[in-house]
Amino acid sequence: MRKKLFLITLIALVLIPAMGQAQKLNHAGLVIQFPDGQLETVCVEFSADEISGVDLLSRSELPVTFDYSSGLGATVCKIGETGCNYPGENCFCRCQGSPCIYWNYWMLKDGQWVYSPLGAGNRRLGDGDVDGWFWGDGQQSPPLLSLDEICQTETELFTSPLETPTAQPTATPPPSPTATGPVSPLPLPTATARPPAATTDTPAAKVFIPVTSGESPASKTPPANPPPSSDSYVGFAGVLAALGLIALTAWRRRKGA
Amino acid sequence: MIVFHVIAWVSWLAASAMIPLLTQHPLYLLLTVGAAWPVYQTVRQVSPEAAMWGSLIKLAGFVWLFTVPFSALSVHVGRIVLFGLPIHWPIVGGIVTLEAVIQGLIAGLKLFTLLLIFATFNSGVDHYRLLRLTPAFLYHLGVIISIAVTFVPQMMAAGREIREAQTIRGHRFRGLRDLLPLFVPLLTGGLERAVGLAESMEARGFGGNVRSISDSEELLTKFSTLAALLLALAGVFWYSYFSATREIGLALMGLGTALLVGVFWRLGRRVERTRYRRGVWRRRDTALALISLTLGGGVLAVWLAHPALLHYSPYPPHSLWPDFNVGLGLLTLLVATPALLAETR
Repeated sequence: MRKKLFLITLIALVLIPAMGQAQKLNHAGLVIQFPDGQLETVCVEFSADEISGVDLLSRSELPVTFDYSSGLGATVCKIGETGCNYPGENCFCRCQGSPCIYWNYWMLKDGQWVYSPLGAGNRRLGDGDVDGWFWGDGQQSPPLLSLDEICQTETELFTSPLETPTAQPTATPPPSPTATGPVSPLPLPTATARPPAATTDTPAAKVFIPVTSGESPASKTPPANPPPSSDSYVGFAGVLAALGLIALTAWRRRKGA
Repeated sequence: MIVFHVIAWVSWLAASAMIPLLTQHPLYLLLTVGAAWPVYQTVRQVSPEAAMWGSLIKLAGFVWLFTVPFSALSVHVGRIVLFGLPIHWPIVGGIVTLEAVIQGLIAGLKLFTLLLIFATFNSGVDHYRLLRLTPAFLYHLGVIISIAVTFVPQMMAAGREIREAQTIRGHRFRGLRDLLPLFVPLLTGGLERAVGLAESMEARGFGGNVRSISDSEELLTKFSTLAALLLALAGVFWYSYFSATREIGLALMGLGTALLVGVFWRLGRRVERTRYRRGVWRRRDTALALISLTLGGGVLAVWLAHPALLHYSPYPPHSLWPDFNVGLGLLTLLVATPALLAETR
């Protein structure tokens, strides 16, 4: 009886939050500053209460290279054509001394950019949050843009994370220097200024990000590399046979001794 | 029983450990485990210390209990979703993917490989001869380490003896409270051993065999050490912050290191050392050292020139199926060399 009660409670814990969030549409913004001055802004629509910074970046439609080898989450090595060609080179290939250049991760808090104390995998973004990426040494932040500005400059929203959007992220000219100061105040995005629901003609079910089951939020990542050819495994079998021979020889030596 | 000369054996350790340290490719790791296992079996046959390290290998089998859940619950990325946890749960919330589970398995395999190599090395090495390799000026440290190395086996042996003695007297160990008759004699015995050891070291003249030097020479040594360390530090600083002229930083580091080596050499000359038994360098030691050099050099060269060959990641966009290079696979088989070279009896 206790086991059943425990199971029911567990299922309820898992399902109730998911049910509650099924119909609500949220928005998060992304600002990516490239070294050549190009600025990419992306407005992402999602139905879950929260998504991670990695999910947001993965949905930007830009090719992103991650390094997961640390086992503690994702490290961003390359966005678009800027960054390090991991695994061919170190993920921090431009941070081997001074200056240390890498993709800095920023989050918009109270109208100001704050260097994120968390990695993109652990940061949770809710409705109205904005993330920023800047290729630099951590001293400069991306230009200040509110969610309203980001979503209004979008020619088209990413309506479904599970479908390929037709529009690419728009490239907007970098704002004037006076507008890019990291300390200038910025009006907080309000619910009324949110992008209109008309942009979300896709049914809510399509924009639902599975929380308890379903497809991975990383489904926007580039298609998987093809598996290696069978020749590789024939070679592996040959090496295994050689290893078996060595082990047999060693065993005979031990037994003969 | 000494399997190989300590230098040849250390070279095998360095070369073999390089594989799990530089790659997480599952096929090369599996081959390394497969190659290191016959070596461990061979060493175990001739070394009485192997049984102690065998328990470490058994313990290493449990690493997956930690690495798999850790990876699966902390990295929520991948295409093949196994199940999901509510996203509002801190850290662990989100999807649990097959890719993350595989990453955890590989992290465990890496640790297991490393522990197997170190257990094999420790089973076959003579720790006292290993400590004799420490530079002369660090002899104090060498003695301290040698005492520390023998501490655990001595403690275990003493514990076993006390337990046997208490059992003979009719004492039965059933709970934590019954451990008191074991703990107290173990503690007093340990203190007695420490006092005995200190007295015997004193009697053998520990610390008294350093040639005395004049005050000016002492001052020169201290000043040179300080200057060498400052030079090395300045070199690191220059190298890190003035990328346009890194050569100057490297030169400063080199100068500091050379000066430090000179100071150490001078300090080492003050210590008079005698050796009663010298290690014998046989032909098989030469063969093992050369093969280890080939293995370590080869792996290092691949890591520097073609790191992609050693790379494996189960996460998208990489394929879940690892690629394999036959040449590199054959290179890892060199880990098994000691199993074919060691003297068996």
